[in-house]
Amino acid sequence: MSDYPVRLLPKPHYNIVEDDVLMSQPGLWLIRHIDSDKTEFLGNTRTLNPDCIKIQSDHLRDLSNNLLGVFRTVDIYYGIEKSVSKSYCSLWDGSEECVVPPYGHYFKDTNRGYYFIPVDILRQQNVNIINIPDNTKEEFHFKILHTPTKCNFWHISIRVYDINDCEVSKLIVSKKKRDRIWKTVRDFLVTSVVKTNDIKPVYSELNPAIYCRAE
Amino acid sequence: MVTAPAIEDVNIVRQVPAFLRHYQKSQRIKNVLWNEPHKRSHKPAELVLLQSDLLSICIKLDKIKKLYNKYRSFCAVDFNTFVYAYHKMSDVMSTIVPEHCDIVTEVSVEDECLYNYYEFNDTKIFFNLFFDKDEESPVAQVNVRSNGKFLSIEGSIEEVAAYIKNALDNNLNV
Repeated sequence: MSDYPVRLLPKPHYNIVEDDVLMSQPGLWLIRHIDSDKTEFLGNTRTLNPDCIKIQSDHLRDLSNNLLGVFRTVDIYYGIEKSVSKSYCSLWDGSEECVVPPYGHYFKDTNRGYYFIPVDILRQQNVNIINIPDNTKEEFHFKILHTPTKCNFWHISIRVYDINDCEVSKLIVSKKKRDRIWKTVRDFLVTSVVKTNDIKPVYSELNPAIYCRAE
Repeated sequence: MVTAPAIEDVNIVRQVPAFLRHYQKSQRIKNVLWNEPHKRSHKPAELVLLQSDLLSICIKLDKIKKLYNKYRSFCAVDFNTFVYAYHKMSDVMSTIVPEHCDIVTEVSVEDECLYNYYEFNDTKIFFNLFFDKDEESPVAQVNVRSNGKFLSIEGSIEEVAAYIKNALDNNLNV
């Protein structure tokens, strides 16, 4: 019998939350798992190893997270098996009916680590890169987008944009330059934003009126 | 187990000035001991110290070789460039971080760069090196968090080191 948390699934009366509405909500926190095989911390510090910040490389380069609220910390232990991930982890179109993954299609890994991202901190800070040889300065900022999947309505993507609102993966720069931007982003997150799992998150839940259709 | 570098590793040891200095000195002492036995009573202690230094350098070389092999698997960087940059990074950071830095991690390789992490007082520093097989020297990137501010600097190793030293002296008000 499946014990997959059913509350995570998109419901027929749910709406995809608009980007600007999501960005304007105060007190939101995101949670992300760390694969069991990763070294969580740098040396004997409590600074997260930047390698734990996983950047998706399929479509747009983004950081996959979950919005805390209906999605609880204990839900982070659930994952979808790779062989069936296409059917469950593809984006929800806003109307499809979703099925609960049966036993065997998902796993529960309680050895996984996790970290938190308070959205308010992410929203308030820009990342500046100073390029000494060219004497130029680049500025990047973050956006969070609601990207529900068929097995998790609370899936959120963090994307990084330059000052012209161009997403980093679409910038016309060399691969090496893009790699350097991603490294800066990850170092910024681990030094300035991420909260490790030894703290208790204090977050606001998204008001249901924002994601439920009016009857 | 760490062993002395083999003959084919001679290029490796040549890249490490400290090794070369110690090696040449120990060879000189050995020659003296061999050719002038009457001086034996004065030298063995120094030779033992030098040999101990040589061993610690060998351990370091072993680490660099492992890092290089890991890095080489995804970027065909020249070995001389790699070792030179590795040492340069350590040298310049020794002028920036306090003598008793709270935390210095081992130099690590992640899929795109070689990096080291330093933490002292309220300051966190990532020193990243990005190699390119077509470039003579790597791009250095320093990402620093201090006094609630974050700054990222790119340039040559010397350039970023000088910039970040000045920035830290001014609480990252640059």
